[in-house]
Amino acid sequence: MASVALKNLCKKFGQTSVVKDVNVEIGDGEFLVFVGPSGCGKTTTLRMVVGLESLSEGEIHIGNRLVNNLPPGDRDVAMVFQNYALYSHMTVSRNLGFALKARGLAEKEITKRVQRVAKMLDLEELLERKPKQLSGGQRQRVALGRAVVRNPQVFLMDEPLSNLDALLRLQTRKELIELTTELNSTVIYVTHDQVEAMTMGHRLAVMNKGEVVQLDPPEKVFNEPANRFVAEFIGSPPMNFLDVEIAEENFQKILKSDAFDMVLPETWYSISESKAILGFRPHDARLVAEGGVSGRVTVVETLGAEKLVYLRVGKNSLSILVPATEKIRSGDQLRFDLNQDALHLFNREDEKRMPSTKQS
Amino acid sequence: MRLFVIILIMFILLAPFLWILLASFRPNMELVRNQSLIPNSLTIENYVSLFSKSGYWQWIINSFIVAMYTVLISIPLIVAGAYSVYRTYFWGRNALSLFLLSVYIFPTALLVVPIFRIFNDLQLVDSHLGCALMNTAFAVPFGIWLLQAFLKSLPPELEEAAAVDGIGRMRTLMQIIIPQVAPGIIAIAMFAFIVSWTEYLFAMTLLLSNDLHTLPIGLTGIVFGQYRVNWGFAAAGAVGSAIPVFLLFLIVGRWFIRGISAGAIK
Repeated sequence: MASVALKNLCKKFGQTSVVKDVNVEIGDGEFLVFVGPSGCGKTTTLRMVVGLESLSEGEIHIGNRLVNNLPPGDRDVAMVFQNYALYSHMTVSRNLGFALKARGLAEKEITKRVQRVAKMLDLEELLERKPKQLSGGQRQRVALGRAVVRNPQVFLMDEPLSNLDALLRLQTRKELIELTTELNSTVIYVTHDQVEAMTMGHRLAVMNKGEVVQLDPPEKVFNEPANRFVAEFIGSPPMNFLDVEIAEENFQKILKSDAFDMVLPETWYSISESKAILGFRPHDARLVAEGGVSGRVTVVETLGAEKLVYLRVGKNSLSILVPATEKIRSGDQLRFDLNQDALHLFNREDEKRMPSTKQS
Repeated sequence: MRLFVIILIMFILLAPFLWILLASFRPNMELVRNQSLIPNSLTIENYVSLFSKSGYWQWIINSFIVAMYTVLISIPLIVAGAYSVYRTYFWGRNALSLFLLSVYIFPTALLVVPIFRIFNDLQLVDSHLGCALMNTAFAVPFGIWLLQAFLKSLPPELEEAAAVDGIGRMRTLMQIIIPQVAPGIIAIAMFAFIVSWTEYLFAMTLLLSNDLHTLPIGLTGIVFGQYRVNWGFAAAGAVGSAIPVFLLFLIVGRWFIRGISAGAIK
């Protein structure tokens, strides 16, 4: 296994920049996830690392080799594709061994490695089948096995779970975590699914419009999102946002929105802006009998253990999570309080998060 | 209602073949006198003279040789051509693929004289190979165009996966792409075979010796007598030249309908 360094990576298609100045160092044995909405440049970044896409600018190092001009086959990386790209005319066993054979390994060694991987991925019974005789999950494991069998320096995975149905995806996700931990692999993983990113990544590189907007461990991305985009993209259900003004009264900082006022905790006293965007997650709200913020219920979604309640508060539409036992119907008036430690304020101009003294 | 339409269409499509089949069993005199579809009397006289009194078997062998040459020469050219035009990137690629079919805009009759002169210089006149080369020239552009549909249906990830695994271009083409488009290649081989089997003009021009003649040339030679046309014999000749192709379809057709590429993705 090896480390990977992306330095000032840029990619332009004609005049359009799709990847802008990406700088990421991936440690030996690290599981790094590029996450972002479609078209954010994450797949292009991955394709540059693997060598299927040329670089417009920048450098890619794998281990201590500069690989910019190496063809994909010489980079010692393996890739798992979203659609698996299995060779459908070959049996599972030949699919697994094909790359080894092309590299001139002895038949005996190939068989040994194929057997080992088949055992690891529970494919032993399927070795003589053709891909079309396999289920989606099994095909996915063959695709994974084809990468593992080569024993590469780095694994690159492009949304490998997105063609699986929901239950299988959860199961395969767990297996993938176990496998990569066991192999101590360096993995670069691309997904648009923030849950997948949070659960699998040691670190996340959140991308938007070709740029890495935050590169941090999942907890930090969740608790201290770099900007409004990250805050909205990571976490489900998504964070609420509303425009607020910050006034000083009686040596206190007061948040004023069109529907309510709220005293800010002291940890925010260092900020100087008078306008901001308030962000809070739906689970950081708590129903109260009196005081707090008042709103009228528009939609109630039952999620199982909880209910997601959409409210109209002044001009804003907000959502809060409440226990499923609460009897709430649309049209009801509700009062809720916010967890003061979990508030986020974002600058209205650049939408960057304003640091409070407690957090950083 | 739907059945009626199907039967109607089938009748329109098959009627000429039916007529030929029936005509081939009727005496020539009856065909000239009686134009009705239902025969008065049946005879195998036409077939007897086709199989025993003409050069039928020699023509079949000649046609088969030319057709096999055509298939063997055109398939590698079509596969290599289609792969490079539709799966690789080079300057002028789009223009090239656009002009591919422009070969067919020339009336072939215009080419007869220049081709004869060129082939004469190359000593390809009066040889089956020369005739096959001409058929190849007509089969390849359309063959390339046909194969592109099969190539385009392959996900690019197949080649990318091979590239990441360090498998060379040639090996990828031979061991991954070709097996995946095998049904398409078989279809194109059949197309090239039929192009060659039915070709008349250049076979007529290039094959001078009687013992090199292919079926279409041979048949026209004896069907059109000096003063009259022997229709019954012509019909038997048409059936006799269709039967080998029909048999070929029976053997290979099953093969090429079966979708080998199912299961490559998803």
